[in-house]
Amino acid sequence: MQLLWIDYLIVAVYFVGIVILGLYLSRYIKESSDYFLAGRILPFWAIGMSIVVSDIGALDMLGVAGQGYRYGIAVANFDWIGSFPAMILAAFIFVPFYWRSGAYTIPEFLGRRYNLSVRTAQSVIWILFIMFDLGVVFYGLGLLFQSLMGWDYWTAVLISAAVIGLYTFTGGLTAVVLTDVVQLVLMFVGGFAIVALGLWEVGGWNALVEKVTALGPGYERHFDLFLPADTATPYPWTGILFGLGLVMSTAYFVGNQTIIQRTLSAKNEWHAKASMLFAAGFKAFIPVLVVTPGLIALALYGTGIEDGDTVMPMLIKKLLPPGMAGLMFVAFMAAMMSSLDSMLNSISTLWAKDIYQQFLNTQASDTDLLRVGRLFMLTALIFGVATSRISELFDGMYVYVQTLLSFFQGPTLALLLLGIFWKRCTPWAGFWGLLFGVATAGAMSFFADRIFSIEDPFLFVSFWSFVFTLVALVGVSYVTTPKPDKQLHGLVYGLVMADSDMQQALRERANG
Amino acid sequence: MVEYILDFRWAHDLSLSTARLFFMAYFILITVFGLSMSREYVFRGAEDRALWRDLRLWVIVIMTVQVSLYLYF
Repeated sequence: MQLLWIDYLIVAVYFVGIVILGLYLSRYIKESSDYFLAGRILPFWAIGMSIVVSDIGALDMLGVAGQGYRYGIAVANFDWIGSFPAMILAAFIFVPFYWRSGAYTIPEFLGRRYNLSVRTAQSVIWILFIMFDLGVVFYGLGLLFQSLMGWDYWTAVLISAAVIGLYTFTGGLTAVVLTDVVQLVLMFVGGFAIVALGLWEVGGWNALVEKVTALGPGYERHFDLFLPADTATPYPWTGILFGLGLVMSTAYFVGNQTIIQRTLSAKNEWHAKASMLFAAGFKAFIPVLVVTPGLIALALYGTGIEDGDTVMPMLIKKLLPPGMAGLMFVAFMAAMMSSLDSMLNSISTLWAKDIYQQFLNTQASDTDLLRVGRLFMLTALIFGVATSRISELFDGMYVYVQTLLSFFQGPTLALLLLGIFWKRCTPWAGFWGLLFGVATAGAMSFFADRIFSIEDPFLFVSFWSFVFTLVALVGVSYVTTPKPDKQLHGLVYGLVMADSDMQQALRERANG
Repeated sequence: MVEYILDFRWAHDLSLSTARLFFMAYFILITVFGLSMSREYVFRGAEDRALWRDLRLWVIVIMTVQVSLYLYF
């Protein structure tokens, strides 16, 4: 792609601007809660925009466009039914509970509700997952800019790591969230530019529908959100409704540390709830940005593209006039950086609060936590950069790690749901329920060929692992001892409502 | 029998119109849930009680968009 001086200028302004913003915000970091939870002063709109942009990375922009090319608009289910209902449930049930409990992390909340074993298991899983994910995202970043801009792999990775490291290290969650706001705007501008130019090239929306459906019988459902229950694709309506709509999306928006940590930084309970609903509004537009390019590519290039992930770069090269490459570069860069900074901030919080403070230094002062969190953030950053090339050697590693994480989603949701709504649910039921749920998810995935008729049945696996975990939680709860009520105040729905003193304390807290 | 349940094979004979009804029922359930929140709970912590801060209205907007999308596509 031909780069002009204006492209380099846009990129330079972006890098310098983001670093200055991050460094400026570092003046507000006085203690660990400032660093990990932005001092709990953030407004709903900033948190909401940060949630959206942390959820969508550049790899998603490439991958989902490829899925849209292959399966059509059914992929949009992940941002529509896979977001709206879950975000409403999160806003009105889970987020207020987390926010009032004063917890920094989801594992910390689970630890208070169940026991230290559940907390540690959850923390270790998340830390390992994020560590692996960092390397994969850096690898994707290096490759993307190598192919799009002709940059050297290590130059791209090291420059972006330095920029992200600088503002995340100094500014903490405040810098992460506020730079995310800028990054969301850039992503939307870049994404809509591609879609608008693509639709112009195709001849408009109606022409797009006509051209794609005319490609043959395999493409007549490319504009249907509902695919038959016996479809060979991974997206039958049963999987979308039960697996994605009821379990996976809810688990993601109520149990994902990188998402929930933002809501915990809200300045009061209303802003915490509103942030989720505000984010849902933006999520409506995400499929327009990431799925439509796949359909546009289908109309422009036909069915001959083997690797769907190349669709977006092909469109950029074909559609963007000289001078706009810098804008697209910045949009991708923003998507990558917003995912990386969120992961780094979350992993430092998990390490400092759930591992360091629990096992390595139980008497840790606030200054210790701040120092350790920052140091671990740097360690994770260096680990991510150093291991980025490993993804090249082990092609299936990312998929393997992602699959393993998906085993925990259904069980974690079951733990959160019963933990909040059923005071009889015991600590050991939480631990054994988690293990049982993960084991059944693993077994179903292992025997997927014998049990399921669809390709890649992760939606069904999530749903059934959730159901099996619920059964295990109830069963084990009846044969083990529950926590006394006084230890569950503020953690279980019925006890919050029953205790007038607690209600008063919560009201004061909710009012900031 | 196990495959029949786990693989949702009981749903293979249902039409896509029936599937759409299931989806709509779910959306209505979520909307009703959001609207059932008490005024005190919805405004808790809010700086004032301006109409735009009523999160139940936000739920109506969000779910109207959702239902429209699933009726159109």
